Amino acid sequence: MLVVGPNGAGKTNLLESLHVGTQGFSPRTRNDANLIRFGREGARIALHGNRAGSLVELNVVLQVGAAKRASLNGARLQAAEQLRGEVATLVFTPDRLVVVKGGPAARRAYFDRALGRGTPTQAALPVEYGAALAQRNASLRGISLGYSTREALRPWTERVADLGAKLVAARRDAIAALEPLFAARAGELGLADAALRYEADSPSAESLEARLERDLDRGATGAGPHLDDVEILAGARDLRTFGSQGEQRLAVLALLLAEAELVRERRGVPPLLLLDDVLSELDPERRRILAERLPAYGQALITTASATALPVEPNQLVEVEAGEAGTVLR
Amino acid sequence: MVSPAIDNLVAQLTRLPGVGTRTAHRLAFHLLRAPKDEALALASAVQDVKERVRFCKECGNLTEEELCSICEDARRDRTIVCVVEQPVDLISVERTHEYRGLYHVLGGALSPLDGVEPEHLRIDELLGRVERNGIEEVVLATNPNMTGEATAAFLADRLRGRVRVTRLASGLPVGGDLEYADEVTLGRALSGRREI
Repeated sequence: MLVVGPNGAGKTNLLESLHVGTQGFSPRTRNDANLIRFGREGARIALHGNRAGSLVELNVVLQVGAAKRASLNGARLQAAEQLRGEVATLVFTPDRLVVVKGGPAARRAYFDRALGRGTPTQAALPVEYGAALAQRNASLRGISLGYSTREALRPWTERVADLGAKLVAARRDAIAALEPLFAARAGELGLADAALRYEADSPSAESLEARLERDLDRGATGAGPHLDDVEILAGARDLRTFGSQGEQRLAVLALLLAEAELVRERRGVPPLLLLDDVLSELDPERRRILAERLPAYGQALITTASATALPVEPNQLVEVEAGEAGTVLR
Repeated sequence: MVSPAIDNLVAQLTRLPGVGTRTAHRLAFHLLRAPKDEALALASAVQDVKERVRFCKECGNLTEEELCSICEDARRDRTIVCVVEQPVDLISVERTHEYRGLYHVLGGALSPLDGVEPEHLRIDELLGRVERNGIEEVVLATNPNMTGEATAAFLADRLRGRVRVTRLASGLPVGGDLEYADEVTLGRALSGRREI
């Protein structure tokens, strides 16, 4: 589906509301109040869809000063974020470039979310590891300040080691599953020899004990998966530092398509793809390749300022104009 | 506001867990409308609780005497101690009617982030009881969350070699549907599956 309209008409807004409506949160902001039209009390997103032949009805209601509510096929969900486990949606926005060109934290966050989407039982692992780490760091500072002991630190060291080892293993699995798909999609888009490299030492209670003095000096745990990085490569080049803007964009796109395939494989249903302004920096040949491949992924929405940006005829064309509801042209 | 006395009541009620300003207002006006006896009964119940209830010298449970009714009960199995974080957890275990041993209430769980260190919990008292009282097994029934697990690990380290240490199993709620189990619980239940 192609969503066309001039700048500022609300194309991204439409995409964002689809993300909120299917996932329960916005890819842009964690502050739900920002999703409500300025000066209004609330917002509602109602979606009707078809998932592998069965009807799906989603409702998300946001209100100023109240928790958001979500329902799936009329049944109220405990938390809007539960939608994530029900419907898969993957989004590309121009800010996603930070995954490739930003610091290691941006990549860790991205791959940690990807591992949660691929294996829902592990979705909480990065957060749990972070919580254990915060406790261990607090305990380290407590020892330096004289109100905690090394004995009291030990259970936190064990927890950090245990959860850290699980997180490293989960990341390795997720990246190993993504990599061949990523390399294939990147290759098709003209980014040769693309690869993901995750080299991490699995933490253990012994390795953390061995660096205890240094950690005490710093008042923080100085080794572990919270400091790891995933390199996104083309051949021997790290695209973070040696990739052009165009290559970085292709890499983000290839990652998204790779994950879409993985989601389809694991969940049996392809995800909804929301691609915001993905065409503007692709040359005509790459636009054609992307347009040809997209139908294989199920439903995809692409926003663009110009209806001719897509070299093939979209199945559906939606025109968005400022201040008005969108019109389905076809 | 109308009167400083109402303001003060609302402010005091807001300090209660789960009570926001709106609920506090509703409760305050309810108390104002209620007969004097009824409202004062609440006040004296609060006073009674604070004056009469204290911690059991032995296990840390709530009691109005030196020792709580469980520690006093001669029919209890004195070789086994179940360690819980709070008195309310003890009540949950008691409701099972499955457990006939004694308890030990820690008064919380280790959490360096919140400044809770071993000396803030009744850990030395537990070690002392194990040392003195011929206890053969300690059941660690701290909560299955991050701080509860760390507390259990800390206690297990201290108790190992002196006494048999066990931990509550985690798995599926009985009478529930698999359909409604969260992924983590179901995942743990799967990895802890057993032959029948």
